[in-house]
Amino acid sequence: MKLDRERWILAATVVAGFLCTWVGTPSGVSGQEADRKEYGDKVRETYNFRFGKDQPFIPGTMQVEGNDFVQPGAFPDPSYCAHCHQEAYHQWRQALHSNAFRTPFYRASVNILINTKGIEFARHCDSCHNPIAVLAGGLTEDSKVDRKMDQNGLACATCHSIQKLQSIKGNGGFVMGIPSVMVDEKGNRIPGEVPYEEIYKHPERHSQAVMQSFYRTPEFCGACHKANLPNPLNDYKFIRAFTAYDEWQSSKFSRRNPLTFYTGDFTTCQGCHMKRAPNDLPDYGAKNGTFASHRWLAGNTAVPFYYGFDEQLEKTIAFLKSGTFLNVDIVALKKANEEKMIAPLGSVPFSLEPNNLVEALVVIQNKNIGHSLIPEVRDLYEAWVEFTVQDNAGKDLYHSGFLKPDGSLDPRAHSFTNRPVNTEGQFVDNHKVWTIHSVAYDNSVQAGRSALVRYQFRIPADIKGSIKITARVNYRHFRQSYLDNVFGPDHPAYPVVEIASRTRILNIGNNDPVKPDPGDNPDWMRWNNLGIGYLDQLQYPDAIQAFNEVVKLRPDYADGYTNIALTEIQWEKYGSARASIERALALSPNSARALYYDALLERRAGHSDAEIADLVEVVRQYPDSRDARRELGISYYQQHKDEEAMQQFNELQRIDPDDLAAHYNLSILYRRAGMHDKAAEQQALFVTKKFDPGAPTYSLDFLRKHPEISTESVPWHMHTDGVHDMKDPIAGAQ
Amino acid sequence: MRKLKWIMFFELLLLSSSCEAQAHCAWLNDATASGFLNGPVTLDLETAPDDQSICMFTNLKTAKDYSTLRIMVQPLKDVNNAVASRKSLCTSAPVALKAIGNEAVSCSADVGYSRGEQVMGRVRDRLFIVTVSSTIAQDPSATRQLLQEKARTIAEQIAGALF
Repeated sequence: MKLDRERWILAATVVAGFLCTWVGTPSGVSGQEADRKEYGDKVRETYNFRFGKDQPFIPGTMQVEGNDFVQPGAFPDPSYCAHCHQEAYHQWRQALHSNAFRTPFYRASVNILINTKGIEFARHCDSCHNPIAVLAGGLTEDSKVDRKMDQNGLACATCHSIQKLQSIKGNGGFVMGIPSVMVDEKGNRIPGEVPYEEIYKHPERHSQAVMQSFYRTPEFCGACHKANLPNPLNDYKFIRAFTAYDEWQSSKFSRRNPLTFYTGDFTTCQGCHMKRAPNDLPDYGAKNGTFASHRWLAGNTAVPFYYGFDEQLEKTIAFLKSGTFLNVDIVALKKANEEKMIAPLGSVPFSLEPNNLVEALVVIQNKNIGHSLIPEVRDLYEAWVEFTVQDNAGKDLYHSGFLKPDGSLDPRAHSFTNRPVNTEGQFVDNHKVWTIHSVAYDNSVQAGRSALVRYQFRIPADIKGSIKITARVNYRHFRQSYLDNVFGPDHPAYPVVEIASRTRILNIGNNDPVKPDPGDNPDWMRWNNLGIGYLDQLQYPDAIQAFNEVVKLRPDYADGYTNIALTEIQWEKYGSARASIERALALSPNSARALYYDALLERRAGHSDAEIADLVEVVRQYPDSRDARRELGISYYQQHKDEEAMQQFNELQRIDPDDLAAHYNLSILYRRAGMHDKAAEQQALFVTKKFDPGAPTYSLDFLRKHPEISTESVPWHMHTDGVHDMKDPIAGAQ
Repeated sequence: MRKLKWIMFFELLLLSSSCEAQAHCAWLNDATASGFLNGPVTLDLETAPDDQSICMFTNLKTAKDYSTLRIMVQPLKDVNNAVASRKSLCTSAPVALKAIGNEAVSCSADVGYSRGEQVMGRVRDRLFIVTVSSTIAQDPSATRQLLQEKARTIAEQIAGALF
């Protein structure tokens, strides 16, 4: 009997052992596809398909050719590429893309998601931060995937294997191919690494495999530099997270938007962030001694600071300080009890006396950034205005935007940030984006626009000589409280970079006009920017007054009149807007910008044909103008020209697949046309993307608890002296 | 008795079908440990005084020849000198490391004929010590330099999981 039992145990153990190891046994079927299928089958056995069997990468958007998991080894290690692309490798290793996953600044946030909701939700983030791990099926409990790819974030073969872009939705809106570094003579992709000799023999086939023309487009960047928080992630609804891509498209640099305040040359994301420069190391990708930067210089000083990438840090700081992105202008002074404004400061005479209560108007112009200040995860970064008034001895008479001894920022500083809040009305700290339900305020400056910041201070009664006033925009990556959360409070101080500044010396007594600094805007532009600042603060009479100063200085400037008109339209002064827009069109009959606002006025007057004619012309000049497409669609809709309206809204969705007006109108138009499935689809998209009318409640909760932020959330607000003496301001939210 | 045999058989089958659902280390999965130790690994989870949690991965070639990866994580009541006070565990002079949590150091951790390299560091209020060692003489994948690199790379992964 004992022998019998042992035999049974032995047999059972053999079977168990077989079952344990069978999973990893090669099936004997050869070929890359068979290997991939076998790998996929193995992953599927334990993979968490929470979001559907056929949607393994949700809540990310990424897709992959063959629609299956991909072995991580299919992606060549960056060291393989480095053999011929030394410069690229050297730059990439220090850049954000290679460190997209491993940095503590990312891990601290994504770990919370993993530990609270589950690792499968992190596919949303890792679709862009660690796509190889997602494609390998590594984002599941008890994963069997070797995570050595974590070191490399976005490896060479990540970007250079993308074969197509999806509609520009972001969240990893690309279609990955199986990595190949060569194509055969027929152009078929050869998966995996090949001997270098093969590449030397056929460099053109290598290029064909690893380069696509769309890699040079902003849409390529938009696949990840646009993000939303979808319902599967937050169990709530679609919420826009950030969209540097759309901000670029709305900027002067895209030349797709007729409504910008200024015009500029067409520049892509790559034009600023991948500038060509002489290469120090040999690289077959260099052309004429220059190489397109794979450092992607931008604002992140924290990652190179943490890793000790001094070269990257130095270049990042130089990039931020290059002086072309922002213009800081102390544009005007107003003395208490005096109606007249002293403006533009430096160009007009004035006097200052001891004990004057003075208001200084500072304009921060987002002059040459192709996106907002700050773009993307602005709840984590810190850009603010530091404003000082000093006496002859350099003693501070007033200081706003200072850093406290613990490194935290003056809670009443004017900061270009936002405050996302959760259902408890609390600041969403640590970038727990899946809990965001509302945004209490957003103080960023969109591309091409200007922020007007007001400071009030009193000149001491015993002052003599002069005072020095300085306004500067500082930048820190990251917000101090987030650095504290990541490292604990005992971390070194992270770099604070002054991006732009302007200082003026003001005499106590009389001040004559002074010569402008080389970096100063001309006076007409100073007025224009002041007008834009007023406009965005809903100060319509002041905006019109400022724009009137523009046309006094430049009577030939059609946009000056358009600016007056658009302010009047917002102010609902349609009669005077009519006169202003006619002046603009008299100076520039084909101005798409003026025609757009003219169309709005024609609509108001009931002149539908003229309205449509204007918008058709705008669309002819700017076929990718989302505003013109939207308004033309509405015009056609109102005229019961359903087919034409549908066409415009379809075009609008091509430009921006998240446009609410397009979803709403198409849902109606499709239904009228009997296209019920498409109508239902658009209706559902409208429902998830539309604003939640209950959300402001959470914002109001937050603002009640944070008076310092509440003040900042008012478009028009004043920074006054003495505020830094306030006792124990609630600093938790900054 | 025949019935009992069948029950045993099915129990074993059941066991085998759930053979994948084994204990796992909170900070590093088996596949990644296997990659570092160049072969299949077994995992032992231990706890030790002062709330220490330990993952011990072993790649056993023979009873005498094996390589190990030991990960210890411990919550700290006092973060001051947490790493400095553990430097006595070093069998070589500690070298400060950058970008692995707070105040990380690297040093040797030789025990008898086992060559080892370790990295100790801290993430906020948690101490971690990663030790990679091998008893295999002349193992080209476990030279002193490679062990150092492995310890450092693994330590970065552990710190990443602790952030």
